[in-house]
Amino acid sequence: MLDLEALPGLTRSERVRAIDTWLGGLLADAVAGTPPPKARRGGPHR
Amino acid sequence: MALVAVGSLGRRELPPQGDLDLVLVHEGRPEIAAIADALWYPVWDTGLRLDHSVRSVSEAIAVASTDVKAGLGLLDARLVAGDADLAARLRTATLASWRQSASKLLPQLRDLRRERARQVGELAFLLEPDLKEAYGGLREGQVLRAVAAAQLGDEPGPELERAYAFLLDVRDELRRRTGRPHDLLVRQEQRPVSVALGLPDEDALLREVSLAGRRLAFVADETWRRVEATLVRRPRGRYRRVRREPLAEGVVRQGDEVVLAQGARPAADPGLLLRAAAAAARADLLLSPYTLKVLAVHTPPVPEPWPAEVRWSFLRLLASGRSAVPVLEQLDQEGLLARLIPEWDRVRSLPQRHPWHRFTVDRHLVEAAAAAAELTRDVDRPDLLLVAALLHDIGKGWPGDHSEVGEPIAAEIAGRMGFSESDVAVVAILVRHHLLLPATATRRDIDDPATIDRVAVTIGSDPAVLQLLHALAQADGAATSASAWSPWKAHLVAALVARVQGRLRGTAGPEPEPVLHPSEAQVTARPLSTAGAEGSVTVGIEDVADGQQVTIGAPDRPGLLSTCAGCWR
Repeated sequence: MLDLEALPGLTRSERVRAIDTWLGGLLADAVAGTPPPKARRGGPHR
Repeated sequence: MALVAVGSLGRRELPPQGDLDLVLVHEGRPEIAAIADALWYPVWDTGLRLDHSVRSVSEAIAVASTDVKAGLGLLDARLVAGDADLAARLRTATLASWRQSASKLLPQLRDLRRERARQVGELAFLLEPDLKEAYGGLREGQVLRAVAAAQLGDEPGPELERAYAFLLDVRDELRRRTGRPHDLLVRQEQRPVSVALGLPDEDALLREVSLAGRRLAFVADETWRRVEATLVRRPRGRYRRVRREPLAEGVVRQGDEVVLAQGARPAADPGLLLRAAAAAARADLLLSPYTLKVLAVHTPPVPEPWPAEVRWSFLRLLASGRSAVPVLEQLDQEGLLARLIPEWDRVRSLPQRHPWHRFTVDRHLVEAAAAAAELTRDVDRPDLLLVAALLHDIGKGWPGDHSEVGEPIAAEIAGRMGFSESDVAVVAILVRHHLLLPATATRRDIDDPATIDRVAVTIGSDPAVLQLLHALAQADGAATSASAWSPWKAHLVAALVARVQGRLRGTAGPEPEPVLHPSEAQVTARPLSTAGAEGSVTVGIEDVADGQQVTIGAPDRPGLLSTCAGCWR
């Protein structure tokens, strides 16, 4: 989780690292939780 | 796929309350829209402001090659998470596209910056500067890196990086204090920000901001000149012949800038620096950056008192008027002005917290000298007028009344410049009494013989000093602002000068012509018969012999007079 209240108190580099880490986690979760689209019934076979 | 940060996060400069600018780069994944949704929604849920896009490398490049802002943003692209090879491909393709599109996009970028500068002003001279968008602000640092990426300018050097980093620190502290995503360094936040940054007070903060902004603006100006010269289209297969023309001993015009002649020997010629500067200003040109650096490194100290040739070159430079301003800025940025006049360091980028003043003290002095150059035909000693204009506020660099403090300092400088004792005394009295005429004319009864006597006695009953003080007051006013030197004030000062001249001659002189507002629309007076009608207010403005007469009709109430008076400056 990103600690929003702590962000302004961090140095620039700490702030950027915190955001990067958080975004990296969000991307991993987004990819893991998003299955490839299923083929539609009646549509072309993949 | 790769999650790429652009903008301030891409540059690792994200301030408190900063926007997240993100691009999800992919290679044609069918589920990319769903992944993007799953990525963006949690960001929105936190309340952070998000600027997002989903693109393939080719789509990103297609946008960046036509949209200058998008192109500028992608230059900062940095991998946050995902496929590093894909992010590297985006970066390589962005750079290649930027270089290819530079001739089309850079002029757009230059015009965007000029327009913003016109709207927002220059960071160096604003009392409440916009740290990002003002000319010389953070945006200039980003633009300079973009020009370097197009291989049309140098990478920002350590001095420029320091200036940029300082502005980032100020912005971080400002946003930390206010909790808002704003970059305007408003007055009430200046003291706490200065304390947080370990500076003595808000003036010290504003001065450091000004110095940083001036450095960035100076390098940006120089860079845009190079870019424009490079992007000028030349007929294929032909080389444009560079114009070379001697301007002074050891000084040559080469194309649109001034350089040293082949035989010039800067290390053995202490007069060369000011000779070159004066030649550049007289030709309405600038010294080439390389020449400036050579002169900064090799110019020996000027002997004191200055030889006549050096003093003459300095006066020629000042007498060039407006075209001397950028040349003096060049000298200042290389530390050469402070080398000639060490006291200059005390007023460099010193803020003036008065709404009338447009400039810092040093720029005001340079502007006053430029304005004085327009008046040199009105006085018998233009050299003394120019030097007094350049030094009249030098005392602001020290505590105390700046006119009193400045008098001995200006005398010392004029002495080092090689002026005679009697000339030094005149410069000193001009600096000491540079506010005498406007202060007396606007605060005293100029028809009172005691007022006229007091002015005459103060200037030693010397008509030459009176003439110079009058010109200096005009130059000072013009360099301050239009509000500081209104036609009304100009007329009052001229009328006072006429009376003092009459007193010194023993005969009354002619009254000066009234100065009206030639460029402002005149408001026709309404019939005053309706004045004072129930709840109505009427204002009439008429031209009269010595200015304008304003008549206000309004129902009486407590405080009416002060309210009306407060409307007029």
